[in-house]
Amino acid sequence: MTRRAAIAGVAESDLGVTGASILQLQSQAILRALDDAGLRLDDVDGLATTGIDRFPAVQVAEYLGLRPNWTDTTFGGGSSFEIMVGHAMAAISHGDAETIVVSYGSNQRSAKSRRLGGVMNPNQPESQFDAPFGVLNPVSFYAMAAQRHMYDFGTTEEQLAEIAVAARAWARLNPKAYRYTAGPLTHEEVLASDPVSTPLKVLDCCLVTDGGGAVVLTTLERARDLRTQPIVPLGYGEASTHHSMSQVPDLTRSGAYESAHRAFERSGLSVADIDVFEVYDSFTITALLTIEALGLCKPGEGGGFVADGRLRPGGGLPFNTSGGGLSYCHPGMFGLLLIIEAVRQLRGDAGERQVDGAQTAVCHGTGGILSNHATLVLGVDR
Amino acid sequence: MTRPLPPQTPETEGWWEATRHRRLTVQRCRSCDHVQHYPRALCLSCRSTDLDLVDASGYGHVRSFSVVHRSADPEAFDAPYVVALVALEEGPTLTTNLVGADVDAWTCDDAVEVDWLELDDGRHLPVFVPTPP
Ligand SMILES: [Zn+2]
Repeated sequence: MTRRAAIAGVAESDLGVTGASILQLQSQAILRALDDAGLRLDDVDGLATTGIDRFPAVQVAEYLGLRPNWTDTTFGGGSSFEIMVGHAMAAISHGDAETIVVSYGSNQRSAKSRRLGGVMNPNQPESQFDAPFGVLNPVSFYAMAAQRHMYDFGTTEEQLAEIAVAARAWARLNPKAYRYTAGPLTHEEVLASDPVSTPLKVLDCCLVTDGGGAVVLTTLERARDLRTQPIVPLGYGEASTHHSMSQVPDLTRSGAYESAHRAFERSGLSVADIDVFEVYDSFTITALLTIEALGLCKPGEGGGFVADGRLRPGGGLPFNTSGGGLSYCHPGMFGLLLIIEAVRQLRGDAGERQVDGAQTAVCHGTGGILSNHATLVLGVDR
Repeated sequence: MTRPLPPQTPETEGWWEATRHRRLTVQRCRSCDHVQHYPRALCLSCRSTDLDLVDASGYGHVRSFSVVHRSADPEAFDAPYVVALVALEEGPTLTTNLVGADVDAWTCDDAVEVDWLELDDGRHLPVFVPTPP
């Protein structure tokens, strides 16, 4: 009988403006997540991380004094951590590792390391065929996806704004959210915020913060003896479609359709069975396109679907309950924080923003410019 | 405004050289006639490695566009300016700039044709202007 994996511990590092180093944030997150699980560093034999130079997992292992027998430094942008959990599920079930930490830390806000044009290596085709035109990477790409969605389906900037408004409402219930005390957001404020790359405005874009987190996975058998309620990854799916802007097959139909389909199929659940959605919201359009891809509404109908306020607390569709990348935290890559919030919701640990009786959750990570996607279906241990 | 010089690689050298003569080229497969851009070492349709560069018509339409208000590099790009994805008649899409009209005048599916922006080393960047009706 194959072993199954379970999530036994989760934690964030300090968030916001920390003044900390990347490795400090990594350590904080990892130690807190292990503490959450009731495990110690010595229990860890597998480490998955990215976002640090060329040897991410090896670097973090050295810093912590670990000698892991399994590492993963997959880089898939924002979806990296859903992918790593997918890999960790396989590694644990094959017996390659017993206890795996998936971690991330970024001090991009404190270090002012974010660049509007994006980071480009001369070997990438983008350096020749995208960058010479002054595209903002990734904002301009998402802007062009939004523009096409508006043109094809009549989606409005106000409908996109609703996604930011709903995220703010959730963030006001989350004491760790960057915008916890910022007060409610209105459509008017979003629409009046400065244009960055039309139709996207400042308030359609995620935050730029420090932050990080860690997720501890071990065998379900072992997790059942630990102090937290085990949360079980039920299904995983991944899809990649393009890397350069000009190579996108379809601006409004992303690879999220395929990754979600694969994850649902493996989990034996369908979208109607899911209680909580934690969906990458680098931009309002990212969330809108993924809502369609997950099957919450028909392709092209996302604008009308969100317009009634259903994504807000009490609105009927629990969505980005932490406040998301738009209002809670966005440390360069947000995928790990989606999983942490889903686990808290499934454990019933989400405080004022708790979704009553949440038994199942979907986490959807989006990397690059809608380039790659990874979907995780999580459930409580039954 | 001086745009930085784009790098080029062995498989894209012919494409960039053609821009010196204001020729927009696309890569065509000698085995199956598939047309693609950017130039690569294999055909994306049949995986043949027997490829050629052929002239494109220079006509296409706007798949999408965005008016950039925060310049990617204020020394190279004077905001606001229009970035776009233009689908050529031959099929492939180029990332480009839309010029020759007010930044707020563009719509998806607008018909466009190629124009050229000279770089300091004599190569050119293909940008697009409205096709006269
Ligand atoms: Zn071919």
